[in-house]
Amino acid sequence: MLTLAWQTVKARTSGFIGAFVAILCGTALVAACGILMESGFRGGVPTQRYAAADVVVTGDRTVRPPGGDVLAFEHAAEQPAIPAALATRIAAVPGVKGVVPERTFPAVVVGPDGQAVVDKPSFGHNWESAVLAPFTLTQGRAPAADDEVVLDSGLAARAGTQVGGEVKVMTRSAPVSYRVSGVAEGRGDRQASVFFSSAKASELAGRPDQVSAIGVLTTGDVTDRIEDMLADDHVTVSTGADRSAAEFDDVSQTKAILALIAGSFGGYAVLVAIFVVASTLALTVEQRRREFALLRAVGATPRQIRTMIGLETLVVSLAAGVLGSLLSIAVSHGLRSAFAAIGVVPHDFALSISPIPLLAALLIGLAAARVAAWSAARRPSSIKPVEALGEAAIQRRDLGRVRLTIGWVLLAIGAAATTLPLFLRGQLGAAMSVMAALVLIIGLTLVGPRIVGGAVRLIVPMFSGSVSGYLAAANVTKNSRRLAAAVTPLMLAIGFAVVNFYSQTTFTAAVHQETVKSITADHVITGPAGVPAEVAEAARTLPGVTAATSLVRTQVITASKTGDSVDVNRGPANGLDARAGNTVDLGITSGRLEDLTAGTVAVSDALGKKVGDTAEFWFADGQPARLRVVATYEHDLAFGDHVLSAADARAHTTAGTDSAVLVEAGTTAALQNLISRYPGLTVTERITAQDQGDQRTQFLLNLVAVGVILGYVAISVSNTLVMSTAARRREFALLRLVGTGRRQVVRMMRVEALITVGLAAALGTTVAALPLTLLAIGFTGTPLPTGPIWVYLGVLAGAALLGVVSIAVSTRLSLRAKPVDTIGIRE
Amino acid sequence: MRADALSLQAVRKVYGTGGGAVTALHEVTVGIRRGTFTAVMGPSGSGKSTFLHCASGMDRPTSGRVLLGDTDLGALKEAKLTEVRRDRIGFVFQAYNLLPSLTVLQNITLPLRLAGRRADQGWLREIVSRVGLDGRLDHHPAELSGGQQQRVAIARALVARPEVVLADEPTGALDSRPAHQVLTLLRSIVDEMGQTVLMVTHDPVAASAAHSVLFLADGRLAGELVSPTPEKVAERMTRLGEW
Repeated sequence: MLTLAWQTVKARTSGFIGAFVAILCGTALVAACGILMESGFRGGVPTQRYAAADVVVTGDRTVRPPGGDVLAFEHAAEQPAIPAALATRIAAVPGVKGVVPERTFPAVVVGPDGQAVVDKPSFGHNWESAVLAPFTLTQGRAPAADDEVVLDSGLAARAGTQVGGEVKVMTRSAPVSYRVSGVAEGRGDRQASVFFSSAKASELAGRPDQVSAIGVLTTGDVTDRIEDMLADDHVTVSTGADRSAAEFDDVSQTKAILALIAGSFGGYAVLVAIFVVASTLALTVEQRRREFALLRAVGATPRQIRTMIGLETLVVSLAAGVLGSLLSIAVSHGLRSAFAAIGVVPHDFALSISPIPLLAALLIGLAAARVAAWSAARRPSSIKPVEALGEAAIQRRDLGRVRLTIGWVLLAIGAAATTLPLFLRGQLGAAMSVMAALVLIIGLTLVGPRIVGGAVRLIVPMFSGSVSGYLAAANVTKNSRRLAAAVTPLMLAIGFAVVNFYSQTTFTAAVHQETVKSITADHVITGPAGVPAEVAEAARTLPGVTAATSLVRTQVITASKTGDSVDVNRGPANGLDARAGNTVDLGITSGRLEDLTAGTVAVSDALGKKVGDTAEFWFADGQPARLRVVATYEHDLAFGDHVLSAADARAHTTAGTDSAVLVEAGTTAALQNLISRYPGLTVTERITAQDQGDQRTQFLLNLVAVGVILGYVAISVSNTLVMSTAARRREFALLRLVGTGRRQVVRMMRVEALITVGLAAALGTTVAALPLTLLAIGFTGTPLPTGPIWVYLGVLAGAALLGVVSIAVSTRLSLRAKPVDTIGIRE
Repeated sequence: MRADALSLQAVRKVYGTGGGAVTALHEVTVGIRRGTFTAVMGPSGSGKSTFLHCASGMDRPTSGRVLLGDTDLGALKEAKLTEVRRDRIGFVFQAYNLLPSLTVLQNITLPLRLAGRRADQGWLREIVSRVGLDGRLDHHPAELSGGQQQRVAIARALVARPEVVLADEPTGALDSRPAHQVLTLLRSIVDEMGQTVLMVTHDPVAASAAHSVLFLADGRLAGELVSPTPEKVAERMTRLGEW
């Protein structure tokens, strides 16, 4: 049987190219996602501050609600601090040579021009931690007094200062003058470092009993011992490339995002790959109906036919899968570059490539092909041998009842789910909308031939004018199944792209709209590295100012139980002062914002809590919170589901600064005067909307992901169209022999292509329009989704071009041979 | 052992249901004796294709029985029926008979391979030389003429030593010279090897190669002609109406 399958594959290379390409690209895509996912766990950048530390202990950023499964966790947005006391315990572990606690806090040097030097993240540390890199003094000496600092050499040059000079450093208040006691040379230049004396550093860090990290110098491998000892202390013990995640916030975020995105993107890719491979194989198998009928006639049992199709698929998918796995290395680098270009991944982030994702993708590819072959082989294997005797290539019988039922049920579920954004607000509502569209698309795919058949009957009378139109109309009516096979993937691509793009833009617009409405302050103070907390206090004392508040943009992690599983989400949150006055409009529905003191919280109506209830969640640094609800509000798009007191919000961020200060009344001149003491701060009238849970990042990521998947769908669409057109060589030859001109055949196929593309555009738009309209009504109050129209037109034009060109090229190629020769060719 | 290699008993075949139902065969009863070459003739629409489909087990009669030796084909499940067809019936089609991806030898031994059996080398050599394909076993069908392809199909039909060989217009797509060779071959496997052959055709010349000709008209048996000549067959056909 295997030889038989192998022979067939060898002899019918062209017939299998479609499946080969589909599996090749699918495997490459899935494996690339796997590589990105693995890099999320094991990739990184060269460490800068911790190169000399064998082990680095930091706070664990993973939030795991009790009762959740292994996937129920979130990555905290901020690095949590750890108790300084851990250092003593680590020092007691045998094999530990030295333990160095490190304090980290924002420290920006003011340059000679009076402007803050913020071209890269800039942090202050205690001088002892310099040995972890190590930073070595090239000039001068270590900071001894409280007013002395050591700068890294790059920073010293940019700040235009040298040993013995004065430098102004802004930590969490107005800049203070320090004397440069030395300049140190370290490695790497991702961050600028300012070293203070130990005493000054703990004062500036603000939390004397807590440190940011503990570097451990060891003899031999004691990582496991340290890990064991600290098992219950909620810390992360890092070595090797992992240390860069402990060191750089962007690397840590990247790794979390990569693991997450690659996971969901990979999931999509697997689904699409199965779908594409299945439809391609189904087409390949369908075109060989006669061959299978002949096999049946000479005595092959249905099971033997199935086995044969399965083996053929195995041969093809093995070859394609191996190549695809190798190709994925290039694809993953391409994706990494794309992610780096949009700023999701640091430019120096190195992928970690091992055989595991390649093998996994190969197996997934093989399994997908196996499933696809099984479904494609079901019908032809039960083919009647009599068909081998017939002359005409007849269309398959009607769709299976099971398939139709599932399709209609999915359509109903999808349609019902599109109404969710009317009740569900926030990112979840937008996500539901996309899910609903996906379900609709899958349902439509299943009942596709039915709907395409119906639509065809409606529109074909329009084409019956010319001979070409008449022939095309007859073709699509008689072979609505074949037409559906071409329409479906195009429709899928259009619907998928449109829903993904416009649900994001509509959501962004809704957030922006509500933010503008809700921030009613007359003046907004912002700065590139945040605004020191004391500014809000100072603003309140200015003459004419009636109210002022800190605005701290942060995030919280929430857990909700749905059935047996625990759903963990990271969402936007804001910190505000109780004395915010009329600077913000939360749309309070109960309670008072004036009661919002440290230890209390205001929540959105969507959470269903009442004043006096307890809200449980996790702060941005992963610390658990149990806060009393003092108010509820409805403007959740602008403020997220949680509004904390500014003090609480600041306490759980590394920076410890405000994102903005909102001021009511007062004069611009007075405010300008106030902020002139703080380099970098500016006063404006407006505020930009808060990123909703890395929303912009998500959007761009989606764009890349959708783009890649669409590219894959495009390959397979043209694949399908070329295959189904090329299979009609004999039909074309027959048409030419009975006197149809070459141009008439080309025109006929052009009309068919237009019908195909037109139907795909109409169905794709419909399937996208329903969820998008309801999303827009729910979120912005107008039925029209927001976003640039050119993207929609571009998607349609792209799909049209793809369809028309694929059909036209393969038609012309098929017409190249002499009709007399072609008609004799066996199918 | 029954004298009839194949017999149809009151076989009726109706296509479609309700008002659109068409009866293709009306209670046809016929026995094909072992070691004979029988042709079935009839005008278009006389039911001769249906007759062959039912006789070969590729299609099931609406009522009546088809017996291959002592086996009632109607009583068999699909998989079992396929096995019976594979092991005990040889079939030759009008054209497009062969799998293009397999060589001549592979095409011939395909039924054995599907049955999971090895070819009897002696028997294989004998049928290959009988159909005149020595030296062509490694060719692919596309490299052969129509007549040669048809002879490959006959060799394939014989390879499993079937009880009966059924042929559906085996010369329909051939010119007269290769057609003559194919007919001679079919006759020789009956006369010299004791094979039983049942052939459907509309060509009086082809029919005259058989020992006897059965005539079908409107789904009913309309007589038999023993030791036919092309002229006698043509005359009979004229009386049955246009063919």
